[in-house]
Amino acid sequence: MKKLEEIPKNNVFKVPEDYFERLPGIIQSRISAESTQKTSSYFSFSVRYALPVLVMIIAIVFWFNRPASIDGQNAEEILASIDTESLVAYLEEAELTTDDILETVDLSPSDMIDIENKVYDFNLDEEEIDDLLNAYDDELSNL
Amino acid sequence: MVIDHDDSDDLTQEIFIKIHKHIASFREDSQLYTWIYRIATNECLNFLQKKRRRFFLPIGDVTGELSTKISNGQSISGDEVQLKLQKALLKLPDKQRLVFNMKYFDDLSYEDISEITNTSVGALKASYHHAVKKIEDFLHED
Repeated sequence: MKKLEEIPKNNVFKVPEDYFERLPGIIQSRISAESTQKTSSYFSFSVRYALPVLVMIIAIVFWFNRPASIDGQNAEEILASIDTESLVAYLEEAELTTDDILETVDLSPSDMIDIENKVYDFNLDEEEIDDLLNAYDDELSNL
Repeated sequence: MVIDHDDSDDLTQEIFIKIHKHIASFREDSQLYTWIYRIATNECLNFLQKKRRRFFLPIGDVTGELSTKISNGQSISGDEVQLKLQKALLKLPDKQRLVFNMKYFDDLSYEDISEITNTSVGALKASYHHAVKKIEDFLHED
């Protein structure tokens, strides 16, 4: 029976000529190729995923900041096109209180000062004051 | 370990690329050659495992394929007994063959092999002596 120690310890595997001389160059070129591929994959990843997200965010911002308009007109233009009598009739029927109106109106401090000045500058003569008082009396009696 | 030169060539390149990638994480709590050896042995074992799984071959068929490569391989030379020894080694489980190769052909100490394979010295000694017995039985059969 052949013992292991009786067998000469030789390496049966042959190495091709210049294999180890060429090996460093091959490895270096693979490393360079992989690092170039990694850089371009980061770029394509960002383009593929980050760009659509960015476009959506911009679209959402524009959607919420868009001017209120119907058929190209803004709210002020639409109101200007409605005659005063129709507006008054609407306001009377809508039963809006002063508080309701004030909630929707965004008055700046300068607007409030203007309104106050106009109120205090009201120059009504006695006849106009009597008409106003009579109008309020009618309203109060109807409550 | 993998017998075929082309497979060895691919693995060698993969091993050095991995070393290059992870050299910064080498903690110097072991010697550099031990760390490199560990990467190399893991790559070889993983390669052999994938080879078996990829083709759904039972262990015997992969052994047969590698045995044929020993007989016909252009990158293999040796007398009849040495080729027979290589074929006998293929009969061993991959890890046992790995330990045998490191001890018998590479002359590594049990302590070094223990560090590389993360196996106790006692277990390695038992594995090596058991491998020697199996090989001698196989050589005696013919």
